Amino acid sequence: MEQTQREAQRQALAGVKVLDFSWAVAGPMTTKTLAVHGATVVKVESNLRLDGPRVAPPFRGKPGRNNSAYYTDINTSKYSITLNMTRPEGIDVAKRLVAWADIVAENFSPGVMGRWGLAYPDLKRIKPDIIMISSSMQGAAGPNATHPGLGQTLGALVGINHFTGWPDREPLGLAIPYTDVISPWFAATALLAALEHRDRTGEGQWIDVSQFETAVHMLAPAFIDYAANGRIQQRVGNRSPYWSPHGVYRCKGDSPQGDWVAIAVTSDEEWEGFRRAIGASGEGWTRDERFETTLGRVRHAGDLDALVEQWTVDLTPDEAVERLQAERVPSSVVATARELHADPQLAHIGQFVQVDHPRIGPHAHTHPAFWLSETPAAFRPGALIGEHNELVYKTFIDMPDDEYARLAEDGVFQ
Amino acid sequence: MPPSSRTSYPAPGNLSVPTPDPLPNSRTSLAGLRVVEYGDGVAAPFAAKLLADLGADVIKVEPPAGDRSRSLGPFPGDEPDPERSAQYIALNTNKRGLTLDLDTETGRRLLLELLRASDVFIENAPPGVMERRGLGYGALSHVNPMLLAASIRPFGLTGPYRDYLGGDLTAWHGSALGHRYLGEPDREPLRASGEYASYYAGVNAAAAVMLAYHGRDRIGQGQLIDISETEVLSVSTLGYGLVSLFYEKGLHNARRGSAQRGGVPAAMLPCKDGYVFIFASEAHMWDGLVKAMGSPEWATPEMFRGRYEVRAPYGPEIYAMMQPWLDQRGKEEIFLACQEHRAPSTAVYDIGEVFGNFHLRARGFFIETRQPGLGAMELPGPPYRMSLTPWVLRRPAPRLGEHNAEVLCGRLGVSSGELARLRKAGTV
Repeated sequence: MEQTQREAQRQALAGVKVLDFSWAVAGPMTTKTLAVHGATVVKVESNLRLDGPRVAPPFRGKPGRNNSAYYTDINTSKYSITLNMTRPEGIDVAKRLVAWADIVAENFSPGVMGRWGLAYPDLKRIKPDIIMISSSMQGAAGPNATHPGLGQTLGALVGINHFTGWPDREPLGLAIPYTDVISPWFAATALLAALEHRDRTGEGQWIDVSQFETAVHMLAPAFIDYAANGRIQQRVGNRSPYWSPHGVYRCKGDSPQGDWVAIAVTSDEEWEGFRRAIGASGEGWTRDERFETTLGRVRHAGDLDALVEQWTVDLTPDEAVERLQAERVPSSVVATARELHADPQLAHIGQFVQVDHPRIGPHAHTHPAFWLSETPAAFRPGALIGEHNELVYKTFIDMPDDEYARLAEDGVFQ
Repeated sequence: MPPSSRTSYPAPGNLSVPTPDPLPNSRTSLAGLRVVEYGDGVAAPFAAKLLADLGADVIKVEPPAGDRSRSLGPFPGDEPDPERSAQYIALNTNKRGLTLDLDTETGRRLLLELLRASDVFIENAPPGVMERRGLGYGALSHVNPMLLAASIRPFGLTGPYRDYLGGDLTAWHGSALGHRYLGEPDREPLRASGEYASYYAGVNAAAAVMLAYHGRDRIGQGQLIDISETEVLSVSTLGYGLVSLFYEKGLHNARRGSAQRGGVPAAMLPCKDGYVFIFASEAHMWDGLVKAMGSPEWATPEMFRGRYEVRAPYGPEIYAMMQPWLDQRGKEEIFLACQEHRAPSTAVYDIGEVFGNFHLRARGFFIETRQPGLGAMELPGPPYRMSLTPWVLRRPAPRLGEHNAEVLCGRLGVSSGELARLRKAGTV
């Protein structure tokens, strides 16, 4: 999506400069949010140690370092430079970039930036009002701060894996890098608040994000339940302690793993709507006195679920949702990736933005999950590795041509 | 530092952590930002709380019957009481509370007057309700063109599903997360426990409001922020797994229990006293895991070395060979052995174990609040540590209508006689 100069100046973060040492997922997702909203984000990489997503599938064609669809989607609209941080000259160049930046972002294990002489106090000496954000598994300090981990393993640590699953079976957990996809939005909120503080006062600061701690917030009521009542919340499948029917029900269809509808009746009013939606086929059982009150429906959720499925099983998911929503009953098709691609709602709002990537070709990139009406997001493909070396070194930090040539020759930009 | 990972179970209700100073004078990054929230349940209240915790002045507007969270538990002692809902308290500390009946002309007028002198409005009313009341974005921006208005809906403000009702369960399954990632082949698609979609929409809304706040300085006007609970999940969690090439290559629809797509090992496995999550995606993680297990003969063949994709064909065999080692050990012992060899496999903790986790305790993560009528209560504390403008817990969650007089008389100049009439009429 080509932008005019005028449009670029109207973006929310126009003029904000970010030096981005982040890698893998959690850090780059944070800086993508900044980049698509107008910040100038310079991602520091190295050919000597590639960022994991550069070489992670899926690829267009044979695996390479410039054609991963995964990489381009989480590094949209950034600039890429290569810099050899194992060389003292590389670290000197990094410090010149710090002087250029408003924000330095990183998500290495605690201690890595310090070993390069780039801990927050070092950065502050170079640029007094710098804002630094460090995001790590368990935070910069504390007894387990240096434990290795990933977004997947933190799901086990934070408790979500233990209480996600069926009550009659073993825990299932989430097969996603849980904290990688949660922490970026917390990090962005804190970072933008710090930027606001700097704009008002001229003071920078350091932000330490523990991905573990961000995830605890998402489960706050369960923690308070434990603190207050000593109750360890257990697996409930799709059910709710408060409402019923509240589940996923089989529908008519021929998808390999079934076709399903999700229904959540969360008030007496919606229960009346549900009765109207299913009409004659529920005449007998929906009047059963066991199901008269919310409490009764929750108590007899098993029987109720079986009866609900007797109705859904003769309908496609779309048919069920149309009838339920017509009577104001919360419900949704249980989508698959295929359906999301064809989904009229997502197509309508432009959830997937077609961006022409030089090696991948036209390719759907994900828009952030929010839309700003007056300062919309704008997309460029994820950069080829080192694509912007000349631009960044010669123009952004005014490196003389002869020095640039010498350092390039000397392997400092590897 | 030697790796270690003890956890302890604190005695419920009798917890001793230092009470932080209320820090009334500490500097906050969003001091002076005026936020009005008309939130129900989780999503909008959580978004506004994140801003309140950074120092924003948040007024929470509730209908006279109160936010739905007040009637939902968990409640201490399992006794329902609208002033003792743990969910309500967790989501509404640091706010002031005002009741307004927006189904009355006066209630709507007072809300608009409040918004005239505010920076941010965050709401998650059911689809169509605000528009029917004449409180859609057009009306709001008419009274205050600088207002940043965030609306959280089950499916967003526009598009063919805009009027559909939904909640956490429908958002989860509408996002394709259940089908693609969570559940077992012989059971229906499953959702994550908790209110994942709603919390997630809340933190996305907070980040979006902060972007728009910076945008206001650039463009000199307010704007509308449109957030869909369903898309928040489909994009932010799954999005990069949905990109075209995944789709072309058919990498979807794979509910397969706790074993993850991608490689081996990556699964929750039973051990002597619970479960562990065994994960080794990179070569050095596998090497560490093998050492942690004492380098058994079965694990050392060259064909198993490398990234986890190379071991994918041998999943059932590898998990079976690993099981006797797991069966003889507790989760902490396995966790420790793995950490000693820099392998990221971990214990699977339940909520109680996380609450007592000694790393979180050492960082002072849980913060004690004193909720009137309830005594001390520990809540999750700072989700980020800011060196200069720290996260601060300044005040308990408001009782229903606690700040009616303060806000209406103090901020909007309503006279005490008029306030009495409003109370009598049930408007506040």
